[in-house]
Amino acid sequence: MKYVRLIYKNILRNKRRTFLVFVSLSFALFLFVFLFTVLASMNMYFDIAKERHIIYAYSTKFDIKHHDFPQSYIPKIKEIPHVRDITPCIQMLNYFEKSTKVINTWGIDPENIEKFFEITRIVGTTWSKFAQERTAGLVGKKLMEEYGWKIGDTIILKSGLWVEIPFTIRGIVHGQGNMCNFVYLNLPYLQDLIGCQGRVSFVLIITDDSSFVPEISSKAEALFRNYPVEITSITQKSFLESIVNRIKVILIAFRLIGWIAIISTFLLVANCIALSIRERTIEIGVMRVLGFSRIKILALVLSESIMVALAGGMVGALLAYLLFAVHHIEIPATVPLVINSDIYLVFYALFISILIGFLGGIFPVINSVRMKPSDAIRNIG
Amino acid sequence: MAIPLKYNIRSLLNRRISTALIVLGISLVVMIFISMMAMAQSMRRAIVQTGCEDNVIIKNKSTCSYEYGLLPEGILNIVKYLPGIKKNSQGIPLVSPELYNRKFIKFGTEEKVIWIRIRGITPLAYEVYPQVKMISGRKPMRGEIIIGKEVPVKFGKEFLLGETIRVGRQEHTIAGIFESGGSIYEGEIWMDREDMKLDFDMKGISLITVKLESSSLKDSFIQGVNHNPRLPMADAISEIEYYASLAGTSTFVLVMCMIITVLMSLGAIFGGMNIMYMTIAARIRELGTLRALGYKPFHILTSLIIESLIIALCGGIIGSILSIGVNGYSLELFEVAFSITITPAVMLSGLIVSLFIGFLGGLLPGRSATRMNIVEALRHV
Amino acid sequence: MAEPLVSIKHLYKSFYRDKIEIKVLKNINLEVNSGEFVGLIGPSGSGKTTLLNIISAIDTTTSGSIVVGGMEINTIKEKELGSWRNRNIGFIFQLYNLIPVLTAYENVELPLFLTNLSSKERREHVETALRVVGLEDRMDHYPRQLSGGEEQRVAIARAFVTDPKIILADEPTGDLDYQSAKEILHLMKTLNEKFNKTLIMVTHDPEAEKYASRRLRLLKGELIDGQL
Repeated sequence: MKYVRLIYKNILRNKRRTFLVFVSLSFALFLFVFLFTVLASMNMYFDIAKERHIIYAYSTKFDIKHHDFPQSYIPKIKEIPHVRDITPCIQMLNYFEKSTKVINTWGIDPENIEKFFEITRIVGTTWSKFAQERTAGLVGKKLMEEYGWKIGDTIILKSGLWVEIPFTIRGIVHGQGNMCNFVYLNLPYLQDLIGCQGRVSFVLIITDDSSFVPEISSKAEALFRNYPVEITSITQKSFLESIVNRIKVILIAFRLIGWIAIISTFLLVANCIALSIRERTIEIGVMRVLGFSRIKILALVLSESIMVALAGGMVGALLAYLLFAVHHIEIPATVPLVINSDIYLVFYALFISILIGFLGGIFPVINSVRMKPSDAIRNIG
Repeated sequence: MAIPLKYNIRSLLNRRISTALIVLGISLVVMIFISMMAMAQSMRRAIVQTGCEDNVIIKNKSTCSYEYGLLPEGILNIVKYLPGIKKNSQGIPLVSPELYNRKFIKFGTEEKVIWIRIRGITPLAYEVYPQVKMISGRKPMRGEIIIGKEVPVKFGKEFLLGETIRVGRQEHTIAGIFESGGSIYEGEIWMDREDMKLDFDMKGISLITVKLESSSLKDSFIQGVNHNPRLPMADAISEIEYYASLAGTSTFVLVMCMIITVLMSLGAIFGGMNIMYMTIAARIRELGTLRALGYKPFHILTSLIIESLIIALCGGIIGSILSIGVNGYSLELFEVAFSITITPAVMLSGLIVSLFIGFLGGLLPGRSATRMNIVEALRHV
Repeated sequence: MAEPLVSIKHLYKSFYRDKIEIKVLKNINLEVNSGEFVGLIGPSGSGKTTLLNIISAIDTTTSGSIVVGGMEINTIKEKELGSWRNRNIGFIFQLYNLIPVLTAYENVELPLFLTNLSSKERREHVETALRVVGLEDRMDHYPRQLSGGEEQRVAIARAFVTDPKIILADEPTGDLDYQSAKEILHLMKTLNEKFNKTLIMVTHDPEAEKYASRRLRLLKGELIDGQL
């Protein structure tokens, strides 16, 4: 600890250079965390899918306007081996008043829905109370904030099929990612409103293990071949991947840019550190003469470069983290992708900063320290 | 010209590594800037340019996009006889009723999920959208389809005429491939409207596009439709305006581009400044000598800024050349399929960005160099 | 008797380091006539270089008057100091201070860029200067390709290529070996006697002193005039 003053004074030796190194690192790590946060949010969709091994089964005619998957198929599908559970869903896109944004509306069966959706909790009511009230609706937290709705409000949504969807908000849904952007209604109620009783948009099937997925898919499709409504299925993973595919190019670009920023900053910082160490060759020689061991000097000099790098990286990384933590930012599209802040990235960024500080200083300092003290004092080399 | 240019150029060549570092850094920034701007611009152009000056779209009032709403068939007979619609050589009014659907399909052995857009048309469509031209094959007959030139990009494979794709219930043979001057139709599959009704079990009309006799009739025509008591659920909007309103996501991409570019540029500016300060420190005696010889502070400032600009311009040119690699690259972003075109304007802005970086990177160090004390500078070792 | 070229009256110069005053020159009174070769001798720290810097307007006085070539330096505006220096002063440094990335020719040409001479006229001046110092066949060499003595000769050529009123030399032989030093001093003597240039040379080399026609002694910032 007695060396802290020494290190501090050395850092302030050339204030301007230290400041510029600090700022370069802040920018680079801000950009890095910024880009990788967006990437991480997108990848989160995969992580959800990976865990749950969910299959969408839908009629071959399926598209956003058709709801013709017969609920009567469900018992038969349940008998397929390795099917753990199955739930019917209606999904539709509606509008609210004059807003141009679509609202993703789901008709669900509250009984086992939590196995299928990443919902952490609901506030204001319980699943059973929701099931008992026909016209009750649950709204995701972010959607509530966006439109300024409150529990108890009666909302009327418009659909493109000239049907109105009225409901009363009874609870708020907290969950991961897009779960907070949906409206959840009781399945029978929605079916009555749009006139498709006994039919749904699709069913979600959950299996024990992803290795059974192809087997279940083909068995399910075979079960109903040549029926009036044939079905097909895809894994949730493939589905979400297709959504992410829309922006695949951006993902690759972001990753590339993020690393380019880091590497070029590293080169710059390494250059600066090397220069400042070279300037102090004489001093390092003097310290050797005074009796400081090589390792001690190494540690002192490296501490400087690591501290400055760390400070800069911290500031940049935290700013990027706060940006997403405080603001609700989403990528606009018909189904918007919400970007969530990720604290692990901040730690990752800190680690990178330390690495940059270390690598930038290690080679020049080893060089200076390896010299004979007599040479160093005369600044030879 | 006071301080000769060769002094700057040779000084730059004298410190090859530092110079190369900044040039590399700036070239990366410029390359990324140009690529992203071109991508955002091309995407925007694809969407916006889809609209024709003299076309008007009639769609369901309750939705913002004709993707979600349907109009009843009966509407066609009313619209056909509205005043102001252009007639073709046979005296038939150019009114194109269309069905539109967007859905995902499973494709390939690895179960890739892709989103496709299908438009069901009548032969009049080709007259309403004169920019659509066949590049191979011919217009489709009943049972056949034609695909836009960006469709293979979505599927990730080349299609041959005569191959079949299954989009709805049936398989359809590809009769031809078309292009439409970079507009979004190039990402669509077109088929006969009657076929589509059967294949997708859709009843009604998604939209009607009419071609007016002249674009000056637009406003009165739109007013007429919106206030027509016989068309209560119809909403008319100029084609250009409609597609412009959909361009929202490309704005997002553009904004991201700007943010990334600004951050990277700032990083490059700070990095460049840092290196500039270092080189000035190394040349402090030289600069002092110049002052002793009679050169004014202003001469030194401009000389250093010019040096910085030279580096920056080299970086800019290299970056521009590198970015040419993405020209013509076909991709799909947010479901808009387009190819990247780098316009001279974008290239030029890339160069301007580099000059901007060079100027700012040299300004502060240059100013600090002019404020030096001649005596101390000459004494510097 | 013509007006003296340099006339210094009651010159004081102090440096301030963090509020501590260091008196470098005290009450300097001096006149140098045109055509003289003045040697300014003294131990290190006596203020010789500072006096030279003030005469050439690279540094300012704390108080006192200094007239060079009929011009009171203190009245010259900051903006015009550079041009004035370019036209009136030639400077020779101990460490030569040639620009390493320019050739000998280009180094000598450098001060001429601030004048209105055409490219052809500049060429004439430079070639003449290099011929006088005996380096016309090395004009395309870079400083690193020249010996110490040759570098200093290029510096001397640079110093008088603008035909200045006065040439100031700060320890010109300080970094040279015995033989090269003799050549340089000989050259400077030639400039003085053959080309009638006024020189003020600062040195602590006893051999160099001998070349000067008039010797002044500077001790702890004060001038001790007279021959030694």
